[in-house]
Amino acid sequence: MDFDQMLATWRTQDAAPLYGVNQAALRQALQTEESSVRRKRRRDMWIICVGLGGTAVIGGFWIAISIANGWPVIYTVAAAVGFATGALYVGAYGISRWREAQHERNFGGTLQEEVKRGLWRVDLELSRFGNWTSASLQIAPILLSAMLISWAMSGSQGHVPWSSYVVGACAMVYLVRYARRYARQKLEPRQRRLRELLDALDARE
Amino acid sequence: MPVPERDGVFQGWIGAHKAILFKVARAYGATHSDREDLFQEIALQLWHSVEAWRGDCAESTWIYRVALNTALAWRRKEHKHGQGRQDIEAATALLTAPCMHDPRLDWIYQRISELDEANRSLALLMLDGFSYRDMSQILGLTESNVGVKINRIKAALAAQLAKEEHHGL
Repeated sequence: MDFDQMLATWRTQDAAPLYGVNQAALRQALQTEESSVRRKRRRDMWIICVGLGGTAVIGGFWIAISIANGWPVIYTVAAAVGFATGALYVGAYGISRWREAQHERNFGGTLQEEVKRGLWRVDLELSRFGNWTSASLQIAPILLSAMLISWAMSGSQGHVPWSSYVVGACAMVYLVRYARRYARQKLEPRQRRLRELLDALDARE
Repeated sequence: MPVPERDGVFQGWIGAHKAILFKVARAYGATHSDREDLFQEIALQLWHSVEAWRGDCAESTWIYRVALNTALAWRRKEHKHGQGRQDIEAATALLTAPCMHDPRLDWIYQRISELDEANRSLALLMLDGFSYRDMSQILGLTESNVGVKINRIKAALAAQLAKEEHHGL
């Protein structure tokens, strides 16, 4: 076999592929993948829309009640703050998703760029998980509106039940611990693998 | 992109270019179960990539890029965590029995498997007739670097061919 014959042999695979594909098994794998993607999107949206959007809706409802009943203005202000923080977070989430999509388009089409894109996604997730600042930002709107409504209902300043602070602090500690475990077990190994791969690709040059 | 439309594009790619997936899976997977695993991984990544495809390169170039990228990442992962997959996993049989068996192809794949991972990508692209420009775009190398590496691969293959001619290849 000479070089040209080798090329001709290689090209026989295009006409008569090496394997057949079990279409049913492939379809099943794709459906599993699709449902996994959908599940993740639904979970994200549920957290954002129900958790924080719900806070905004309750705040809006409270504003309407306090105006309709002619309650003191401070009640309306308290509810408005809860509404605004919830709505602000939902809006910020939407803008953040849009900016991420824009940024991802800046990467090129080479293997290195693909790996860099993957690394960027992991770095982004790591920056969001497991630190007190991001946990505070997620908990703050719910905690703030709950505390304000509780304060407004109590009718006197400084009468917020101490248990609210304990529940808020526990939620924040749980969130940070959960996020750190997720980052340690899933994200950091993936980040290491991508960095190694990028180093290997760069070393080829 | 709606799911039916994405599925349609994906099925079209698989129908027209499945040979690329087989070649990459065979070049990077040592055993049949490895190839099954890698084939599935490439197919899933390809399905995900449909939305990112902007049509600014040939379909085969895009598919090769996704397939090689997936194969390189898969190899890293397998080296660290995936040793010793059991053949029993092949019970789901994504790839059906080989449709053909040509010892000359076995020989070519054996030579490819002896190359390092990066040169393996180049060898596959060279054998499939991609230009230096396409290779440089897919792999992120300069065209001159591609040229140097391809010449070395060709020389090594030619030397092997000459050496093993008496085996009746």
